[in-house]
Amino acid sequence: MVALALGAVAPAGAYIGPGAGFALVSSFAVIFVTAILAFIFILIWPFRTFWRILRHRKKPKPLVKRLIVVGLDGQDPLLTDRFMQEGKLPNFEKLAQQGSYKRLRTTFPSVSPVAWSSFSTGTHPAKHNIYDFLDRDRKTYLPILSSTRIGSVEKHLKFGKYQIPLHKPELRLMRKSKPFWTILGEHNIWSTVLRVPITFPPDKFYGAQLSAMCVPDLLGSQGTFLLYTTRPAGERFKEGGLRIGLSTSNGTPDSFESAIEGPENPFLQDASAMTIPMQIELDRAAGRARVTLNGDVVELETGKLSDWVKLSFSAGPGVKPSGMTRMLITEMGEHFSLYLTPISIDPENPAMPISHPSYFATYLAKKIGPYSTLGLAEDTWALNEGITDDGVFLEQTYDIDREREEMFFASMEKLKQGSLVCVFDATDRIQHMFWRYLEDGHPAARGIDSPEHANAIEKLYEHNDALVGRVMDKLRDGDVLLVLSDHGFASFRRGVNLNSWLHANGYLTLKEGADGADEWLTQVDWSRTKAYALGLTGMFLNIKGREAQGTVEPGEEADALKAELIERLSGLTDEEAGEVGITEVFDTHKLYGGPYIGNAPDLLIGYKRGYRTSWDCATGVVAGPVFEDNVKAWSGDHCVDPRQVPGVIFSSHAIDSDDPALMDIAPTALRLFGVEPPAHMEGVPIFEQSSFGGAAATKEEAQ
Amino acid sequence: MSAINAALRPLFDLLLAPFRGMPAIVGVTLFSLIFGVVALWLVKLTSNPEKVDAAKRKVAAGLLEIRLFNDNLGIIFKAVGSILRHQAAYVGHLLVPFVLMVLLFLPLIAQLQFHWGYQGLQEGDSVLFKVVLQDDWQTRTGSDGADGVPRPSLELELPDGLSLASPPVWSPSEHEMAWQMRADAAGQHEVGVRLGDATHVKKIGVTDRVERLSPERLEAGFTNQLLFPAEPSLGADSAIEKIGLRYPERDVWFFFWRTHWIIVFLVLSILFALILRGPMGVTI
Repeated sequence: MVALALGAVAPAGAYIGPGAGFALVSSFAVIFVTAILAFIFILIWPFRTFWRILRHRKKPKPLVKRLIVVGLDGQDPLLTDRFMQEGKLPNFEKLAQQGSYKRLRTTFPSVSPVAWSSFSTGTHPAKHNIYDFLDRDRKTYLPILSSTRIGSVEKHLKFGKYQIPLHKPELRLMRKSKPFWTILGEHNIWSTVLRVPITFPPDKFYGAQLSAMCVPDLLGSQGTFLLYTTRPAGERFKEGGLRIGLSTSNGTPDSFESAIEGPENPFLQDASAMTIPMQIELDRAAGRARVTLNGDVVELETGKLSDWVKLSFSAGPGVKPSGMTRMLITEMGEHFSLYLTPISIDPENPAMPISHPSYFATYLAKKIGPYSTLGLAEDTWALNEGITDDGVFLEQTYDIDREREEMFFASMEKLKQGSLVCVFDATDRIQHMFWRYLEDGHPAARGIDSPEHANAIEKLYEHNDALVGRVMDKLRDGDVLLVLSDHGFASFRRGVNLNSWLHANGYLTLKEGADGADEWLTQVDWSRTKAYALGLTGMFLNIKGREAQGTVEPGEEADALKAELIERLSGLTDEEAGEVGITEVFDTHKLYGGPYIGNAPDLLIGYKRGYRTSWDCATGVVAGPVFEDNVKAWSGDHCVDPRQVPGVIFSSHAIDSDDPALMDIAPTALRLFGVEPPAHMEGVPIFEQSSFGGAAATKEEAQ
Repeated sequence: MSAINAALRPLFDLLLAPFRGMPAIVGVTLFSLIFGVVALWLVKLTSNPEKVDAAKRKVAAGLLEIRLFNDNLGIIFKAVGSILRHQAAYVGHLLVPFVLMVLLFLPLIAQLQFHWGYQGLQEGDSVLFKVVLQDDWQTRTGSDGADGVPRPSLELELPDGLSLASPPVWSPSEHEMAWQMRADAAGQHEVGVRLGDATHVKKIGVTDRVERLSPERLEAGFTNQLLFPAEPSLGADSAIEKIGLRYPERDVWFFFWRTHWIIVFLVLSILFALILRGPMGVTI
């Protein structure tokens, strides 16, 4: 191409410098490539169309042209009703009047990875195999991610201290069963799927997908924020953060040298981390800092979150895993602290497969600019640990929401026929972190008088309403719009440490001399333990032949133990608060059946609204009280008895089902495109075919 | 322009003096680097990196869009339109540095052309030495010619090292007098061309080194001085339009490719700019 362009340049006098040379050569190149691409695709289009017709001779008869699904993770029906009655949600109101508004039954348990997996597959967890965020390693009892297996490279070619990986690490999605977009694709119906949880690594189907929940940061964790600080080392962060001490350089108190540590270098045998040197120069009088990374300078102002800063690590020639972070000076007084958000995988040059096709993430980045790719992108941990404040968290969350909205509308514009699903997470994250201001006397709001963001949740619902309005404006004839949430929300005032209860009641035994204060159940004597709690809602029996050091015989003994635990825990009272903490405990084998029921927790705990697994229990600490106040900013939750936290569904077309469930959406999507839901799907379509009268809904219906 | 060239000629003679005994590719490489850096600096100074980057991103998005939605002809056509629109915007965002480079680099490149573009004559070479007169040369010189046939009274003053191999040939229709000239000795020779009372000097290089060589000395004019700056112009009222000879063109070896130096210069300066744009923080 360059040679071609050069050939067109008359030697003498035509040359005018590299800048113009670039413009000239790249323009030639771009126009040439565009012409070739367009030519090729236009040329092969009739053949592709013919092939598709040939392959799908029994073409389904769709009831709609487009199905648009807007997922508002965690939008609560009680709050929705309240704000609608107060007239604050006019667009939701309009959509409800034109179609339907109903409660949407959630899954057991009412946890996002489980719920969205049921949404996409139309099945109970026993068929899609996702029961919680975490599962346990049956050999070590240590927690593992339930949705994704990220392996390591076992075979290398070694040269001294260097090595060359001979294969890619294993990366496997643990969710089973086919999502509805895969089935639609098999019938030649396109889907665009944006940030639906439990899609990492992405599904391969006729369409495009951007992965969400469980996409790691560049360090491979689920979100590790970094805090560079001159403060002396204190307690380590309990939830996903690293503290890095800063010491002055050049003998001045305003100059620091440090480094940003990236992922391990796969080409070094000692697997040392790749680093980017970082120089920090302070201008204390102006409250500003100049951060230099790889020669690039980032100017920071105290309390102001930076734009995305690209971080390019070097593993070797041509191998540069790239990430992105946002920086914030959290203090510049006696001490200086610099906060970095978890390092997101750079979508423009992803170090891991975060989209299908692989270039879809790049396409979106080129189209809308850089965007967060981390599974749980909003840094709730930093707010929980008091590193950032309410304002910064809201800014970060709404910025991510804006990125999401841009990619959603860009995709909606391109969708001629098929489905578009996009999940917006802000509703979940903001309710988690701001519920403490929604009700009086929340333990997490103690000592906070007149908080600036007291009405953050109300504003959030209004924000969602405006989004729904914009989506409705873009609807075309033949579209059906579903706005739904995977579960509702409740207060999280009191934490329950079930491991502590099991220990106190003789079901869980600690090793000799252990106090149970260590995390991840490492002090448990498994040979004398019958049951343990892990994750947010699950309890496991220590079954012989299943767990490495099982003590409970499967069958009668296990059934009896289950019955005993159900009886003792259902209605468990929080004496201090004078309330029931657990409404009911469920035997998962009685809730549902399927090929993966063997991986399910034996019991699911149905907490009462206001209660949840305590932070200690969630991290495998046995010590401490059974009931305690939750004083963290994370003050709202949905990991309670699922019957108490249904989601919502708004539809532009009247819903025929009296009691729709999240699991019904997948078969509904299939039905809308004329595809018969497969027999293994337990959900049922929420629309009667006859309600479309043989034709798709019109825009007038939706408006 | 004449004044600028008068300053540039000795400057470039001086700058290129260290490279006279070396292959031309050495100087070409070094100057490509310098020009690449200056060009990047100009771009950095006069363009908006955000806008340039945005245009590039949109072009890339359009290309990926064609690939992604290849079943949808409507999207393909729209993407093509978007690509062309944003590519035009990209060129537009670089227009200011583009114009500045033209203004700054063209006279400099022209200087380099007369150092690297030609090879000097070798001892024993014969070359056609031509003098072209203005259309109205007779009016300007007041000459009717002998026997009513118009013929200028042109005379050459040859220095040692050059000799004539044949008498001059006059072409009335072209107003051109030509001599077959032979290079007898190496050196930068000055040939005097006398027409009436006026004498003009034309330099002729007999050398195997990389030196400034001027194939033509032209009448006064902005374009002539811009494109042929190796010698001063002949003067506005001169009856001579052009004095010239044909030097062999010089090619340079670029790996296994023998080509004109300007091509090598273009490739190398773009490569240097590509390499240095990151360290220099330039978006292009």
